[in-house]
Amino acid sequence: MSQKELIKTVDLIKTYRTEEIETLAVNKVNFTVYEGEFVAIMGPSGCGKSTLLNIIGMIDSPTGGEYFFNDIEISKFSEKQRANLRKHNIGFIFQSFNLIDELTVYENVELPLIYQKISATERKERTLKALDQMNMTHRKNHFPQQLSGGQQQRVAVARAIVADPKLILADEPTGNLDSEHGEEVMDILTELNDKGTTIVMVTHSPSFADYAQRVVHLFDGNIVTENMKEKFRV
Amino acid sequence: MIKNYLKIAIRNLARQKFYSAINIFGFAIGLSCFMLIMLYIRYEFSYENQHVNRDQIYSVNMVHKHPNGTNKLPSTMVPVGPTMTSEIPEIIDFVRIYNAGKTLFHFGDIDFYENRVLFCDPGMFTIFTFPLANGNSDQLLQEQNTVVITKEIAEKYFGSNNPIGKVLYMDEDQTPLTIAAVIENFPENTDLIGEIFISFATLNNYVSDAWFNNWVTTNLSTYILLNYGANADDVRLKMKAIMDRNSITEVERDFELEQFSKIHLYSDIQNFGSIEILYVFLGIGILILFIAVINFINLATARSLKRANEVGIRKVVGAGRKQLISQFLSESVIIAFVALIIGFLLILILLPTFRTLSQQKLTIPGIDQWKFYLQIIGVTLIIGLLSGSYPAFYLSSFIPGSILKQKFSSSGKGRILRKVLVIFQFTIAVVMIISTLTTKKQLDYISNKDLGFQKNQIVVLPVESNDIADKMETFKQVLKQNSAILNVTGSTLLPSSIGMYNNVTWEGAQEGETVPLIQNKVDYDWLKTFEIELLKGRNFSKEYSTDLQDYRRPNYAGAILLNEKAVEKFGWTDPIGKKVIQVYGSNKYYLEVVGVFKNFHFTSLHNAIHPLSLFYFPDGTRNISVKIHPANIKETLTFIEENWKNVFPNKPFEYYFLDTTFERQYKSDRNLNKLFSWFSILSIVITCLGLYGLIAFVTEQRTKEIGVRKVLGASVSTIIYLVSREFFALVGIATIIAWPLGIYLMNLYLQTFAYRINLPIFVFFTATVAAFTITALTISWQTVKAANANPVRALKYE
Repeated sequence: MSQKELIKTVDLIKTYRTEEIETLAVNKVNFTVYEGEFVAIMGPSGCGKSTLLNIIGMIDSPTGGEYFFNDIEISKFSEKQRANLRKHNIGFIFQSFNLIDELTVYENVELPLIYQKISATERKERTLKALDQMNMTHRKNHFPQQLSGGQQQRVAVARAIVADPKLILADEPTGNLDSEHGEEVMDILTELNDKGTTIVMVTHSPSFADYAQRVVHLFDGNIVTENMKEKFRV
Repeated sequence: MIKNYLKIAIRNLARQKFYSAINIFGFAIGLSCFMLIMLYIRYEFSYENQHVNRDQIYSVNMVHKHPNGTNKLPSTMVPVGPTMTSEIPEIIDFVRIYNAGKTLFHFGDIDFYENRVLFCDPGMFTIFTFPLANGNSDQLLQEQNTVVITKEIAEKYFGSNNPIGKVLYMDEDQTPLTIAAVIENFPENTDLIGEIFISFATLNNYVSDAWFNNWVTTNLSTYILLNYGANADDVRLKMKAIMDRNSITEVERDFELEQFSKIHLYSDIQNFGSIEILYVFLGIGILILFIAVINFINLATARSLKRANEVGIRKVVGAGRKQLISQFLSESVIIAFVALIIGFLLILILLPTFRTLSQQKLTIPGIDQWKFYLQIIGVTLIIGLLSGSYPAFYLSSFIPGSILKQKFSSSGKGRILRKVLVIFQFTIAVVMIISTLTTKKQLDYISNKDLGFQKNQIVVLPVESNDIADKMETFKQVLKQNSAILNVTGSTLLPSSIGMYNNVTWEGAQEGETVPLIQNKVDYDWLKTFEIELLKGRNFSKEYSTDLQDYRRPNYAGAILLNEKAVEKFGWTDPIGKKVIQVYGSNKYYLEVVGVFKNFHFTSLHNAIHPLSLFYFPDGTRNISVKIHPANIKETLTFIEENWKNVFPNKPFEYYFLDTTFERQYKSDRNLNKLFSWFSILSIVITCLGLYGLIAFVTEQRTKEIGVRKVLGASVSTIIYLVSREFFALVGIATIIAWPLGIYLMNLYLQTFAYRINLPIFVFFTATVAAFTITALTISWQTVKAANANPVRALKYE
C-alpha cells in the first residue's frame, strides 16, 4: 500500500514530573496515521490516550522521540512554530465542547479564521457554510449556554472544520452526549472522513470505535494491539 | 481582530460585573487623584508664564559671607541695577523695585490704604510682560510723579471714568501722581505682585542723592534682563568686580543671579512654592495609581483559573501568544479608559474642595491645553498596559493541553506574587496612616505650644505712617482710662513676625566676626503687654533719656535689650553694661545692653530662636497692640474705635486679633496635612476594594472545602479563622515593613521643624490597629457569609 503518512511517531515518550515521582504517560510509542484514515484510540482511564492525542495535535510537546507531521519532524519545534502549523492543519473536537462562553455561536466558529488572518468576506462565507453543514445556522446568534449539549458539539465540529483542516482530532467527542446525539456526531465525522479528512478519535465506547477503520489500544503508555477492520484490510 | 478583542473585553466586563466594578472604581479613584495632582503641579509650573522673557530675567540676590556662615537676601543696593547695566554689555535692561508697604492714597473724597505699592524703574514694563488695558505703553515710568495702576485700582478710584492723565495723591504730604497707563489685573499664578507702580524717580521727593548712591545698604529688589545666550555666572563675576571697585565692606559680599522662571519652585531664599512638595505629591499620585494597578493584577491572576479554559481553546484553534497578549492587554486598557471617564466626572465633583485645600485657582484645562489631556491619556494607557501585562503574559503562557484536561491549577508563582502585592499595598496604607497622624500631631503641637509671650486678647491696630508719634502718648492715656483695657504698646513689629536684622559685632568679638541680630523697635510697655519675662537688668525707662535709639551720638547710640540667645551667641556671662556695635560703612554705633529677656518664638516654629534685640524708639511704631479684658470685647472695640477717630481723625480705623495671625502661619502646613489625609483615605479605599475582591474570590474558590469542613464538624468561627488568617498575616508583615519606613520618613519631615514632637509611638500602634480593623471590616462580610452558608449547597456547587 502506497498511502502517504500524515502522522508518524518514532519511540515517542512523554513523562510528567512532580517533585517526588515521574510518570511515564507515553512510552516509546510508534504510531502511524495515513492520509484519509479514521483511527480510534481506546484504552482505560490514565493510559495515555489524551496525552498522545495532545502531542499529535501539537498542543503538548513530547519529552523524547520523534514526531513527523506531513514528513516534517516537529518534536523540537517552538510553541510558536507548532501553533502556526497547527492552525493551518488541525481541527479539534473535545468532550466538553470547549466553546467560549462570551462569544456567540457564529463568533466561536469564526475564531480559527480570524487567527489565520482571513479576510472578513471570506470568513463570513466559510463560517456560514460550516454552520450550514452542521445545521446550526438558525442558532448563530445564540451563546453556547443557550444550546443543548448536542447542539454545542455540532458548533464545536463546525469550528473544527471551518478552516478546512487536513486532520481532525476528537477527544471523546461523544462523552458528554446521549446515545442519539452521540451517533449524530459520529455520522458527521464519518461523512467528513468520506470527504477525505483524516480523523483520529479517542473514545471509551466500543460501539463508537466501530465507526473507525482502525482501532489502537493503549495500555500504560504502550500500544498493545492494533486492529485493522476486516472490510478495510487490503 | 481588534473588533473581536473589544467585543470579548466588553462582554467579559459585563459578565464579571463585581470584579469589573472593583477594577474600574479603583482606577477611577486613582486616576482622579492623579489628575488633581497633575492640575496642581501644572499650576505650580505655570508661575510667571505670562512673562515672555522669563528665562532671561534674573533676580539679583546678595550673598553675605561672615565667619558664622552665609546669608542670602533677595535684595541689593540701590545703584546695582543702573551701574551694572551701563557697564556690562550682556545686561540689556534692569528694574529696581522698592516696596513702599501699606500706603494711603486719595482721589477726591476717596481714601484707601493700598498694600501693593511699588516704586520701580521703566524696566518694569519692558522686562516683564504686563498686558495694557488702557493708555500708551511707550516710555512708561520715565518721568517723576507718574504711575501705572491695575484695572482694579482704576475702578476703585475712578469708577468707569477714563483715569489716564488724572492725578492720584499719595500720603499725607499729597505727592501727586499722574496716571500714565492702566494694566490688566495680575493673574493668580505670579509671585511678583503689584497694584500701583510709581516711577522710581518719584523717590527723589523722599530721599537724598546719597540714598541713590549707597553701595552698602541692601534695600530693594533688582531684576536684570540678560542677552539671549549670556552666561549668568560670567555676568555675576563681572558684577562682583564692579561692586568691589565701588565699595569694600568688612563682610565679604557676592551676588547670586537667580533665574526668574525658577524662583517660584526652586528658590532657597524666597519661600513661595516648593519643588519637593510637588515631588511628594507626584509620588503619592503614582503610588495611588499603583495600588489600583495591583488590584487589577491580583484579581486577574486570582481569576486566571476561570480564564484558562478560554486561553486553551483560543490556542487550540490557532491563537498565537502575541494575539492572546494583545487581547488581554486591550481588555485592561479598555477598563482603564472607562475608569478615566468616571475619574473625570469625579474630578468635577472634587475640584471645588481640592481648590480650597490647595489654595490655588485650579480649573479644568480647556481643549487648547491638549498637552494635559495627552498626558492623562498617556498615563491611562500606561496603567492599562501595566495592569494587563502580568496577567497577559501569565495567562498566555498556559499550555493548552493541560488546561483543556482541567488539570490546571492556579500556580504557586501567581499566589506568591499576589501575597507580595497585597503586602505592598498595605505597607503603603500603613505608612500613609502613620504620616497623616504624625503630621497632624506635629501641627497640633505647634498650635498649642507656649510661644513665650501672650498672644490672646491682643487687638492690633496697624498704623502706616510715622506721623502718629506725637499723638501716640495721648492715645495710650485715653485708652487706659477704660478698665477693660489692660495695656497698650507701640512697636515696629509684632512679636509673632520679627525679621529685620543688622549684622552687628560686640564687645569681645574677634576681628571681623559678626552676627545677624534681629531687631524690633518698641516703647516702654512692650514687654509688659506681651508678658515677656525680664531676666536680668531693667526695662527701658523714662528715667534714662539716653535709652532712646539715636545715631547722632555714635558712642552711646541708645540702650538695647537682648534675648537669652543673643547673650549666648556673644558668649557673655555678665551681659549688663556690655556693648553691641552696629557697623554702617565706616561708622560704628555703640549700644549698651541694659536688660535680658526670656527667649520667645518670634517666627514660625519651623525656625529656631535667633538672637533678638529690642530698641527703645517709639517713633518707629507701625503697630499699636492693645491688651483687652476677655469680657465685653465688642464694647471695648467700639471704645477703641471712637477714641481712634478722635485722636487720629484722618486715619482709617483697622484692627485684627493677634492670635488669628498664628493659624495663618501654619495654614499651608495645615492644608498639606488635609490633602495628605484625603490621599491616605483614598489609597486605603482602593486597597480595601482590592482586598474585598480577593476575599470574594477566595471564599468562592473554597466553597466546597468550607462545605466539607462544616459537614465534618467545623464551627463558624473556625471557618472564619481559616479563611481570614492568611490576610491578617499579610497585613502583619506589611506593618512590620511599614514601621521602620514610617520612622525614617517622619524623621525627615520633623526635621523641617526646629521645634518638634518626638516620634509618637502610639501613632504606630494606631496605624497598625487601624490596618487590622480595616482588613477585618473589609473581609468580614464575605467570610461570615461563606462560613454561615448551608454546607449542602456548597457541596452541590461543583
